[in-house]
Amino acid sequence: MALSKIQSESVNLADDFAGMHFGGTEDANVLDDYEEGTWTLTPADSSGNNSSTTIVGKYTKIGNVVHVQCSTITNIITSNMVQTTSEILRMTGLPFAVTNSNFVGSVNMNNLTFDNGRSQISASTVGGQSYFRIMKQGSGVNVAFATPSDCVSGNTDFINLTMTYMTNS
Amino acid sequence: MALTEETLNDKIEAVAQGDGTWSCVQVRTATIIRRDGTEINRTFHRHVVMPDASLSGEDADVVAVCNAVFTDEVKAAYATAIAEAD
Repeated sequence: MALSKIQSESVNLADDFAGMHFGGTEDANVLDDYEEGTWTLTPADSSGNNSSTTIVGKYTKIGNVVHVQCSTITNIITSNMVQTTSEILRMTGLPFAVTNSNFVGSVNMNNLTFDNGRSQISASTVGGQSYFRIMKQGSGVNVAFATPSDCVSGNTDFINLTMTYMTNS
Repeated sequence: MALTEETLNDKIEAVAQGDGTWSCVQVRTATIIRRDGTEINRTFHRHVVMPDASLSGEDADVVAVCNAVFTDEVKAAYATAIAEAD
């Protein structure tokens, strides 16, 4: 099928469209999905207690690559979350499950406590899951994951996230 | 002129994860705006349901798919996978 002179009209490809091949005919050459939408980030502890605060972010999926973004000022940690050092802060609600690999994104947060020489943070996915963790790192020290108790929470918490990861769907 | 808004889960899909022994359910919720019955806008919101998740807040159609996908074998495989990940 030749595509030519498509100007004012859009091309609509059905959900069951097999995709477009670029530069070859293998599965690796197929672009078979594009989607934009929103997702809801909900902070949680690793025992499964969700913050009562939620944050709506945006996503764009191109093929098997998902780009997510969110930005807000809010109270991230709420009193129903377990705030001990044994808990890990999970940012749940990614729009697609992550492949069986780890991906890292950029995140900044205020009111986060650093310890033991760690001075940098990043967002770190977990294979097969739909959440990410806040990884703290520094020169010459092991990485550690932020806990709910690391967040000195208040009404002026902010979180900005930009991350790209891959999905099986 | 009548504007209406409808929300529906237009994609509920099981997606194999890990070594393929367990799946999650991915849900796409569409919000559709119609003017005099003609669709003029459609936006999407997504979330993922894991085998150990509470289904209490999910819509009936999502619960039905989750109950079919999250068999005891799938739940056991998922529990094993997350235990190994920890």
